[in-house]
Amino acid sequence: MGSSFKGEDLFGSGPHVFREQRRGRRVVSLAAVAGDVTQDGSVEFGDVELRVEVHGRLVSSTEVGLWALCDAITDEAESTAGSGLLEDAHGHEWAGVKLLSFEPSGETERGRTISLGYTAVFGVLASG
Amino acid sequence: MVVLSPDRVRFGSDEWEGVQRVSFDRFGTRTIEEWGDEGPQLVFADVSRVRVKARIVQAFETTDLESPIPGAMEELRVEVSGGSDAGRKIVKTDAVVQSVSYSVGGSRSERTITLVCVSAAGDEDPVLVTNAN
Repeated sequence: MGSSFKGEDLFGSGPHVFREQRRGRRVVSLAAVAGDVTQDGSVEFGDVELRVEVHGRLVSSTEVGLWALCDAITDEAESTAGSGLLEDAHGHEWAGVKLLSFEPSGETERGRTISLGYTAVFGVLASG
Repeated sequence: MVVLSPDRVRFGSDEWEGVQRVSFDRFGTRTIEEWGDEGPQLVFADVSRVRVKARIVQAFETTDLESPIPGAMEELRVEVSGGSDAGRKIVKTDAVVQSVSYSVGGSRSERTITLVCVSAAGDEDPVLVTNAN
């Protein structure tokens, strides 16, 4: 079983791993909120928004194929693309997430295969 | 790849005499390794940078006052016979001299020339082996 986003296998051309970022309450220094360094303590403003990172490598036998893999992902990172279900290879699900960004982690590597490392960040935005 | 006792070795217009062996070593200088979410084992590996080095060992029995200059680039051409004209091969590559060193002992001296082989566009192995005929 592979991973998927909105039912599409975006990352299955190569190895990839999922990592959740920090969860919990969003705690902010009162001094920062008030603009007053004499204020002690902190205040909470709801929960930290969910962020899930996917680190991996897209792999193709051709340049054109690699670009097609990239395009399929970046299409989902456009502001007009809606949210959906993200699922890792073990069946863990994150509902209602958007693909917030896709960033290559280096240059295109040309060896036996054509490949590109990347980090994709998914998340839930409180604004919807 | 190794050529023992080649018939003829040329570097550009220079003829290199007394060559005992020419070897070509290939090194992966960038290895990509990736692991997935399934377990501890490596699931992807590739080599996206390769360096090919040629090493030429010459025997000398006389004084040598000529020496290739590091940085010089020419076509290295090695001719080798397979015991007959029909089996004659030519190994050639564009190459840059990297180092020249001598080993002196007894009545014989050896000169070792190390060269870095250069591919025209980077997508093909720089060393080409063809039939002489």
